[in-house]
Amino acid sequence: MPKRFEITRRDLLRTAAGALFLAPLLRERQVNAQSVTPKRLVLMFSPDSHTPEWWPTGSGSSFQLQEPLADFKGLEKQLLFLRRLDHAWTFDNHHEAGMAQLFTGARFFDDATHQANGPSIDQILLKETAIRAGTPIASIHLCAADRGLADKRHILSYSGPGQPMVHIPDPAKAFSQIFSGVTFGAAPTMPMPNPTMPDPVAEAKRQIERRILQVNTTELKSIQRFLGQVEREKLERHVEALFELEQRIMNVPMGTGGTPGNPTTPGVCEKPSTTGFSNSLNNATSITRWAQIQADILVSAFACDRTRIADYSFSFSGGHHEGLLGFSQSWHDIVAHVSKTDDSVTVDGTAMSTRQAFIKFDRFWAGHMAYLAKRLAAIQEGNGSMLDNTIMIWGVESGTNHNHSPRDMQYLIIGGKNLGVNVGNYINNTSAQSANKLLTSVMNALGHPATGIGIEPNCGPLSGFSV
Amino acid sequence: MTLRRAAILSFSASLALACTSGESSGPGKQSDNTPAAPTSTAPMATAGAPVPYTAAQATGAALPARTWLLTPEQYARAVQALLGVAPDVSGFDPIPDTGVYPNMSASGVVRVNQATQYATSAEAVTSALTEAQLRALVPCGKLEKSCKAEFLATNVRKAFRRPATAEDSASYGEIFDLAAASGDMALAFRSVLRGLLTSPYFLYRTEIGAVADEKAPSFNLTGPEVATLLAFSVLGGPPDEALLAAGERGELADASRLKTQIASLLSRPQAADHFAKFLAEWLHLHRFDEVEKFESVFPGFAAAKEGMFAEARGFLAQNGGMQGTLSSLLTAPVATPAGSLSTFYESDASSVHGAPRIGLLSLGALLSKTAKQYLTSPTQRGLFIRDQLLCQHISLPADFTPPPIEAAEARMAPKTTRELYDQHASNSVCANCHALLDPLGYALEGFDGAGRVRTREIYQSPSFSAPSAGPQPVVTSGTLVGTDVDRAFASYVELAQALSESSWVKECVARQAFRYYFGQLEQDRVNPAVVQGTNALLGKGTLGDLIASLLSSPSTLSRVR
Repeated sequence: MPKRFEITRRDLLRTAAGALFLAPLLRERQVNAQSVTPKRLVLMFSPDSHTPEWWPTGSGSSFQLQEPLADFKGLEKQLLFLRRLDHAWTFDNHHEAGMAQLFTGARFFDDATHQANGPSIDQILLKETAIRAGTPIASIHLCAADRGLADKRHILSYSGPGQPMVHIPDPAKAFSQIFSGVTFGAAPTMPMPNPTMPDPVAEAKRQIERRILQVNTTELKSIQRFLGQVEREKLERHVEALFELEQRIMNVPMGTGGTPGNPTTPGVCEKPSTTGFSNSLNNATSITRWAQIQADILVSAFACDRTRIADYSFSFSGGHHEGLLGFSQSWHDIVAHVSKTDDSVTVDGTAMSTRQAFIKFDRFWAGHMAYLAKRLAAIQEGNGSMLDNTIMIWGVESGTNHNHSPRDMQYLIIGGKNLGVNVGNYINNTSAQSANKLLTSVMNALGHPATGIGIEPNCGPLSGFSV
Repeated sequence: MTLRRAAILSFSASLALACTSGESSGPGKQSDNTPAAPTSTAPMATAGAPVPYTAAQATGAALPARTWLLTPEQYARAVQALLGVAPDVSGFDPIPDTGVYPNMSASGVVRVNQATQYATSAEAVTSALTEAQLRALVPCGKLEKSCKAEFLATNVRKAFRRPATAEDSASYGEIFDLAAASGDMALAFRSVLRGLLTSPYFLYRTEIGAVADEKAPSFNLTGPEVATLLAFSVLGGPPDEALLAAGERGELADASRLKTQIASLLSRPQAADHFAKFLAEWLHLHRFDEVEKFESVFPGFAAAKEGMFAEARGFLAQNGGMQGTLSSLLTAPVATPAGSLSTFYESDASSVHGAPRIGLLSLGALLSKTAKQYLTSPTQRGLFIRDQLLCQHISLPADFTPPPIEAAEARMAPKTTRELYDQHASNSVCANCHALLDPLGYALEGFDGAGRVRTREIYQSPSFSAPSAGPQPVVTSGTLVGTDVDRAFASYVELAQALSESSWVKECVARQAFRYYFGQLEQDRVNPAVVQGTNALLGKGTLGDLIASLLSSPSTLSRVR
């Protein structure tokens, strides 16, 4: 119990002023932080919820995957299903309420934007733990089959109230932002200055760039003096960004990717290919390639230890995708929302029930998630795989069967065996639990002593999440 | 409570409608951080009762000190003005559109992606300068160390839109010296420019006042800050030399001279372009390209979209320029469209050939934007009128999830859209608010979900197959309530006429313009800029008068910390 009048670091961080005061200290700590085993987090989203068949049959460690998750076969021991999770609040048809609280547990920031009123778990972990461990990029946010808008129906991650982390839909742009200066082909992964062959011109430019960043940072701090709290916080994001750029320029040894021979060294830092990209929203072949490129970029970002936090999103809440998979109408309107009616629809020239069509649609997106999981599982890291050190949490914005309900939300945990996640299980709770407990457990597994999140700061962890 | 949230609540309150009733059960009742009800500054309306207009007095507090990030477009213009060359901003992240206007100052945040883009752009554009281009930026015309001081003073002033300070000279002088030590003098000049382009003084419009006023709770903006505000807000780019110099001489603090400068700026073509952008964003037409319809229900819509957008732009240019009036926007006839669009508009079997269209409410782009994919939406169209024309914001009750439309369709098998939406009246949770919304949408039922003219309706839904009832007459009559011009109407033409007479609508348009031109939500209706803008329209002023009045108010000159 804290002593009377004692203000803990977390107490201070809860205040905006405290966050500003401690920000430089936390940045310093991030640079110095070293952890033996990398811990990683991936937030994931696919549109229009899932069919009831998305859940496995059986229970406990003896469960069988059904058609929507058929592409996960072989990864059963890396999966944790936790059923009967409810969102803590709802609004309208839950699309926007579901998105806002999906990874934040928060309500709407305001009536106009319907964005989340608090940070998501990835950004909380970045601000309040050493998970980043000095990696050059705090977090990456990639999407496929979407334009990457800042609208409430597209955002998974928030750095604070009403502060969306926007996705990068263009793989080439993502590549250039994530891998600038990286030498591919081997671990160690960070671009290190070569002490034996100094390049005076490059070194001079580097010093100039650094000095510019320092001058610009000083200018920001000077402007902050004249502003109120909200405006100062806005500029603090800019200060943090310049700090990150300075770290990249100075090639500060970061992360635990370490040196060759280190047993925790991630897989070889490979250059992901970005060829074959097309931004079609309704061509299955194009979307599949788009998703593959983004997943490959994400895997390389981890293998090169550029970051340890990512979000990976498909489409958006309520996405229609007319024409996808040979169905000319809106998947959201005509299939997902009416799958329980078992009406007949024609998909790619074949008549089928709306439920069958929904399963086909569901599997399409799940296959992309499985691709990423399998790639992470295939990379050796320490005594296990990269997936063992990574928690992937896949959520949707509506309850089972896209019922516009906050009940029976479908979250799937993939990976995290070395982080104590109770993988290889299907736990079908008999009574409803708050989904915020799951978010709390994920933060706990990644080193944050959270007791809750969002509007439920004391909901506690979720039983059955940890081994 | 954040400033932004407080602002939204306050503006909602001014002509707030007490329509919400009933509660529904659901998980997690909203109780903890739900904001308290705002204090109304005007009579609260109740459904069915008129709300007489009472003019507000300009007693509101000054706007807060702030920074306002340049949009990619503004950034490009600022770089062009400084260096004489245009940067490539095609890869820049746009300012997030949070649903009010795309360029609100609260949503312009620089994170590492944006910082990287600024750095990359600055490096690219300064590296690409030829020596001749570089020399042109040096007052002495030579790339020599002796020219450093004058080069710094000139370019810092141009980049930061204010005179260089001693700190600026020291900081950028150090960068100059660091680069000059490499032996490459051109690099020294380039490096200074590179640094200026990533400076917050370049990337943001600052409204922080003079250093001497740092501790003052209220203060006046500096002359250069006022010049910058006016230039970006009116023209979408940085101030030119004449305007900046006028600001430095303190001339913009003089009310008469300020008005003269504003009038001069508003007479330029860029001001008209910028105003047209405001109109498009106010009417939500800047996202018209996202509108999709079921081709099976509205065949030809996709092909007609471009023509519909062009029609809207043409109408707004004709009636919504600086010399236009609010009345003409609402009640002027829309020009008869060209062939293919005309064919599309009349492609419904019940269409009337050559039926006139009156005012912005009849624009096909707006009608299809405020409708469902296979149907109209009286509620969406009513919400648009309440939100954008009357500034009456109506929300769903907290924790209430309306049943999906498919369930109502299956239960009712409606013969018309109006019949379906009339069901709101029989549900106590829905009735009050929908009484304010749906009748306004009914006025527009003479246009289908794609903006085509119709006199009869065959209800079509992809989610159920209703027994064919044959074409049903469309009924467009209703009653406008909750305003200062309440009345019964036979169609949208009479509704538009009523709205054109409403003082609340005039105030709302002034509010919308304030949000766009000042990049923030008004905190209350006594905001001096809003009051002045409203008064211009109440006095039968033009839209140009509205903008001139907004910008010549005390809100342009003073701030609080």
